[in-house]
Amino acid sequence: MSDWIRAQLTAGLPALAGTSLSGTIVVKQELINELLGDWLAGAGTGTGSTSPDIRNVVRYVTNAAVRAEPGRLLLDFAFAVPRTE
Amino acid sequence: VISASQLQGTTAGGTFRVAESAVNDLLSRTRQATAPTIHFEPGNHALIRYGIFHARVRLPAAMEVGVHPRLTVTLASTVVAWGLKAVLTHPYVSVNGRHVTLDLSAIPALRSWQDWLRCFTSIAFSTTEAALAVAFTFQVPE
Repeated sequence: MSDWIRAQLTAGLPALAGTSLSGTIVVKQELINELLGDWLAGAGTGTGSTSPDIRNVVRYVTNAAVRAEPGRLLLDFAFAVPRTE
Repeated sequence: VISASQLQGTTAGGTFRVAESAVNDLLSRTRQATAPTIHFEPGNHALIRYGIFHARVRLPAAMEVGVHPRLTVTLASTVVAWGLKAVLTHPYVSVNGRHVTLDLSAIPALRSWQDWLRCFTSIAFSTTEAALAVAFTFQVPE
């Protein structure tokens, strides 16, 4: 399953052609700090996770904006995988 | 691992379009010697093949969401439903008449995803020739 997901991400999600998503992800500052700490710890020891090449997926982001409210960040996004036919 | 409660206030919606070939590719990766295959047809119909066994099913327009999300599909054949009722012993599957219900909250493999599954406020299905569309809305309560 993880191999399949990795292959899809690298190939630009051909299985999901025609998919469209949008929304707002709300992230509290505590989570941002926790993730930042994990990332810095991994970067310092060379144990950071290895992600697949997702440049072919990021290009499907049609809208992205970050807003700040007290204690949290709001990430607005829209994402669409073009149809292949 | 990020839990749903850490993203309170998050909302999302959209439609996943899944090619039939992708579903069958995933099914072929199961550890069973004979993997089932599925063919989607317009009108929320699908044909499932498993060895010599064939079954026509109709997907619901929408599935139940909430604390106990349930997916109920309707078999075209009462005989097939009787056969399934005799062989399916999983506690998360129930057969009533031609209706087969899958209780997603009771599937062991999905146990760690329960707090995410509860955040779906709607899940709807539609099919076209060789493709499945799953429309959803999602909200993590504040």
